[in-house]
Parts: sequence; structure tokens; C-alpha cells
Amino acid sequence: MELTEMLRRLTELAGISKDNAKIAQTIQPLLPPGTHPIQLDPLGNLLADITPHTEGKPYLLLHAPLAQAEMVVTYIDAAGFIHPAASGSIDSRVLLAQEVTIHGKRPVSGLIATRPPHLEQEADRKQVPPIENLLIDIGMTKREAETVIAPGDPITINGEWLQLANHRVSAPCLNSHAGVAVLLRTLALLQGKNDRCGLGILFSIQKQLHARGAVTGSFTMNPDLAICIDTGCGRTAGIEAHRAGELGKGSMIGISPVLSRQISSQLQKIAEENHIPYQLDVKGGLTATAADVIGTSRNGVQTGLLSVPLLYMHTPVETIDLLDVENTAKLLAAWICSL
Amino acid sequence: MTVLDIIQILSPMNGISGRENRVCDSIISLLPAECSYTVDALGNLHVFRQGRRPSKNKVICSAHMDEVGMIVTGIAPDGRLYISPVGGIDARVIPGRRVQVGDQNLSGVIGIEPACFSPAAERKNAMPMDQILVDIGAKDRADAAQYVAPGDSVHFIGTCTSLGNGGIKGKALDDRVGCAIALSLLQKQPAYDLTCMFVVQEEVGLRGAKAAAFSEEPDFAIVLETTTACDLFGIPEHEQVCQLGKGPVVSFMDRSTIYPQALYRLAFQTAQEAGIPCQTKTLVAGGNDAGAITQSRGGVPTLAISLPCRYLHSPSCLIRQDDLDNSCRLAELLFDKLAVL
Repeated sequence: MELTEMLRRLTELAGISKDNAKIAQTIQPLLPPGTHPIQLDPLGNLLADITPHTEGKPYLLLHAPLAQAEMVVTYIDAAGFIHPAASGSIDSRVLLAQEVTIHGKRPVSGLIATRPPHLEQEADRKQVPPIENLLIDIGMTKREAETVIAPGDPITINGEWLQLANHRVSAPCLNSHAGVAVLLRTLALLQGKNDRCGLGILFSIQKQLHARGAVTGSFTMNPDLAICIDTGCGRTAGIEAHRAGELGKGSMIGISPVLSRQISSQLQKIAEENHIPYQLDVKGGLTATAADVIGTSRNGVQTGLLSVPLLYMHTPVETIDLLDVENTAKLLAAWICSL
Repeated sequence: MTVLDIIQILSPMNGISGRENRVCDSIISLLPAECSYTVDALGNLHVFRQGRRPSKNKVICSAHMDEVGMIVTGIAPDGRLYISPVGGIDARVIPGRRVQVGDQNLSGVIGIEPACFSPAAERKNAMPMDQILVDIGAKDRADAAQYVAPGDSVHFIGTCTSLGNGGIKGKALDDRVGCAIALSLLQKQPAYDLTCMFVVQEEVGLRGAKAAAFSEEPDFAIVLETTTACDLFGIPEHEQVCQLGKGPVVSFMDRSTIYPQALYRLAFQTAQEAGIPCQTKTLVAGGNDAGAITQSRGGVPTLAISLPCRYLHSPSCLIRQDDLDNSCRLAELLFDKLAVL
């Protein structure tokens, strides 16, 4: 399937389902023919063995995070408004007046309430309310709401796929789906070509909550090497060049004390040799990705990090350049073939 | 065609103040053959339909076609677009949205720099309007200039759908709802000669109605509008202004108009006789085209019938179907009374 179409399908799925089994069903046909069915582990991670482990060759794990709901229902008040708490990393500055879906007994549409200007002091308008103070209007009474919604139900922000100029696309949850797309594209590029290593994949849950899914998923997969595919902050005019990646200029190769220096160097070398555009993403410590926990799985895993530059992270209009997805997959496939 | 059908056609149309032409064309396409119309110098649409009887007084119904939004003021070196609000928008509802730019409805997004680049305290602060830019995916200024020019409109994207039990949500319900009610009055032959004005530039100072009312020289005017409801959890009753589900709002006074006492009482009396719920605003706030029409020529007694609307001027406004039906009924009854008053 074409890359654009695959990403679009993932975007649509995230809006209608928080059910990882359904996500597995969508991803399964995108895996190379003959791949074993994707396994759901006890926490809800998706795992698959693509090329079984063989003696004398390393076993490589490719990881990408799954999207998670931005908020969760905590309370239904007497007037029928839903009270939320944060469950992801959504930026509270983009929430007012957004449309949301509450994944109750059935999907329920809602609006995040705003107070009219005349009831707010000038100072109020300069601040955004914390997520716990937001109200979600679902157009129902408390009694009606309680028949379909309960505390604990996930809440996602509605968004849609938008094609912008210059191969750029905007959609919610691209900060996870871009990684999923790179991973699937890498497998497509590798088809019939990888005789260098055993290969497994992990799509993990709860990346924003200390990468809990990656902790257990990498234990189960038990790799020798791992590459985490994620997204990195893209640069807009207000951000210094060394702190962010440029859209359209290729994959961001992670360099950090917690990453394998060897893998980082190999990735740079392979990119140079194959004329694949890349940029460097240097961190002084933890990377805030699953690489942080996969590196210390079991007796330790040599781990690398590749990121797709992404604008407007943790908003419903995350934006990437599709060329960066393609170039990240190319780089990763070329590196795997060089092992 | 129901009034809700009309709202669902008009709500997604793009028309910030001064760029109402697409809304105007759409309204013209919905007019029954029995109507005659003209479009004046400012872009106001004047529609006339002959009634079953001649009327004693000339009564006009007025609704505005424009919506709040943004306008492109320039292009930044990185290819993003500087914007200015058109009409009263809370800058806090702008970031994190999809928008359409210009007459070609080009897709754009309004993002913000991620929290990792802002100190924690700053994340609680709303983005000031002058730091909010639109991204159409352009690489730089020259690239963006191929698609966009200063003066292009920027519209929120929103679909008009039902919400929960009896709710209707959509963008620009202020005042496509008023336009839809006026259109519904024109659908069948009215009891008396009916003139409806679909006016421009309400959100930037009640400007279209001023010119349109001068042309029409009415004896009475009914403004069809939406008004702020703040009936949210935790808001004291007296600060809620008005409530969804309690019927059309007829106010005695707002920031633009002190409504004639006699008409104010007539509206409530008419509602009561017909068994239509009707409420007033419990706060002197907001304003509408009544402010301009009242002061037209030697003065025009004017009343506004407004739907209570939550989240007014945001990309997703919310009204209720029962308030819509009751507003249509009250508008028609009041028109009939004023025509022979």
C-alpha cells in the first residue's frame, strides 16, 4: 500500500478506536506476506516475529509507539458535562473549543466548553485552564450521559488528515503513526533482502507514560539490537537550529549517552554512502523515547534512535513531510542490510 | 427543506466579514422562485416575497451572513502566514486547528511550538494573537506567495452535525442560524409582504445592516440572531445569561440597543399566547444589528429574536433543535403581529 494511504488509514483508525486488537487487524495486512499473526501481549502491545532468530546472527527489534488517548473521563456532573483528566501529553494550550470523541459504550461526540469573554477578566484570557478544569459538552443530561459513558473511558481529540503543500501532511497522532509508517515501509523495502539478522517488531503502548509498554515488550522480544523509530521536534522560526530538525531534510539520527554510539555512527556512515539525507539529533541524556527503557532491557540492548522531524508536537495538527518518512525507512533498511 | 437542512448547508460555507459572497450565492440558490432579490453596493442581499395580504406596516427580518475568522496580513520568512482576527475571537480557541485559506479553500494548520521549548509556566499562558501563525506547508516566503496573498481569508473548518440529544453543533451558527430562519420564512407565502435582509459585516461593527436598513426604510425590524449562553456546570444562574432549551431569547437591552418596551412585552405576550417558551438575557452583554437598524434614518423600532448558543464565536457553536423550532414559530407570529400593529 502506498505510504500516504497507509498513514491516512492509521489516522482514521485512531479517531474511531482505542482498541489495539483492531489496530493489529489494520496493520497485519501491511506486513510482509507470510508473517505470523501479530500478538497482543498482556498489556496490549503488538508484537511480531518477522525473521526468526538464527544461531550466529543478531536479533534486531524495530520499535514504534502506538497512539494513545489524550484524556480520560473522571466524572459526570449534575448538568451532564464530562470532566476529564490528562492521560497523554496533549498541550493544554490547544484544547479549548476542540471537538472530541469519548470512547464509551459507543463513540460519543463532545465539545470542550469555553466561557464567553464577558464572564472572564482580561487576566483569565491570558491563561489556559488546566485539563482537570475543562468541561466536555455532549449535549446530554447526566442521566442520558450515564447510559453510554463511565469514568475511565478514553477521550480522543477529533482531527483529520490534511494534505498541505510540499509533501507535508497534518493529522492527529502523527507523533506515533509516523514511526509506525517508517517501520512498515522498512519491512517492505527489506522484503527478500535481509539475510543479516533475525527481525522482530514491537508497537508499544503508553509511550507518554514512561514507555511502560516498551519495558515489557522488549523483555518478551529479547533482542540483541534495537532501533526505536519516533518523531523529533521540527523547527519553526522561533526555535534555534541545533535544538530541532528541519522538515524535508531527512531522518534525525539520535546521538546520546544512553544510545549505542556504534549504531549512531553506522547510521551516519550508511546515510553518507547511500546519499540518503539525514540530520543529527544530539541529546545530553535521556531521549524521552522508548529507547531509554529498551536499552536497559534484560542484560542490556544496543539501541539506536531514528526520528522523523515533526511540527506542532502534541497538538491535533501535528505535521510531517512524507519524504522524511521515506528517507528514514531507506536509511534503516540500508543499515539492516549492512549488519 | 427543514430549517435544519438549511443550516447544514450554510454553516460550513466560508464567509468572514467582507467575504460573504459565497454565503450570499448559496442563499440565493435556496430562494423559492416567488422571491425577488437585489444585492446592494456593500453585498447585502435584499429579498422580497409578496404576502397573501398587503401589510399595514413594512416589517423586515434581518440576519447577517458574515462569520468571525481571520485574515492573512503577511507572510513570514519561513513561509507561515501572519494573521489578524476578524471579529471578536478568543485567541485561546485558535491554536491546534485546521483552517481553510483564501477563495480556493487551501488547507492549513495552526500549530504551536511544543512544550519542550517553553518553560512550564509558559505552558499555562495562552498564545498571544501576534504569535499565532498559519502553516500551509510552504518552505519559505517565496513558496507561500505562490498560493497565498495578504488579504486572503482564513476560516475554521467545521461540520454541522447533531450532538447528543437534540443538540446541533457547527461553525458560524452565528449567524447562519438567523439566515436559515429568514430563509424558512420565505419558503412559503407569508401572511403579509415580507422583506428579508441578509447583511454583511456585522462582526466588524454592524456595518452592512446600517446601509441595508437605510435602503429598506422599514417601519419595524426583527433581527434574527444567536446569543451567548453560558449555562455551564459551576456558573451561578445569574451569570449564565441565558440557557439552552429554554426557548428564544428576547432581551430588553444589550451593548448595542435598548429595545422598545412595547415590543419587548409584545414578544413575551405573543410567546405566551402560543405556548412558546421564551427567555430574556440576565446580563447586559453582546450586541447585534439591531443597534444599527434602530438608528436608521429617523429611527426604527427593532426587536431581536436570538437562539441561545453556547461557545459563540468558537469553531464549534452549539444550539438546540427545540430552541430553533420555537424561534422560527415566534419570528413568524411576531412578524404577523407587527405587520398590522
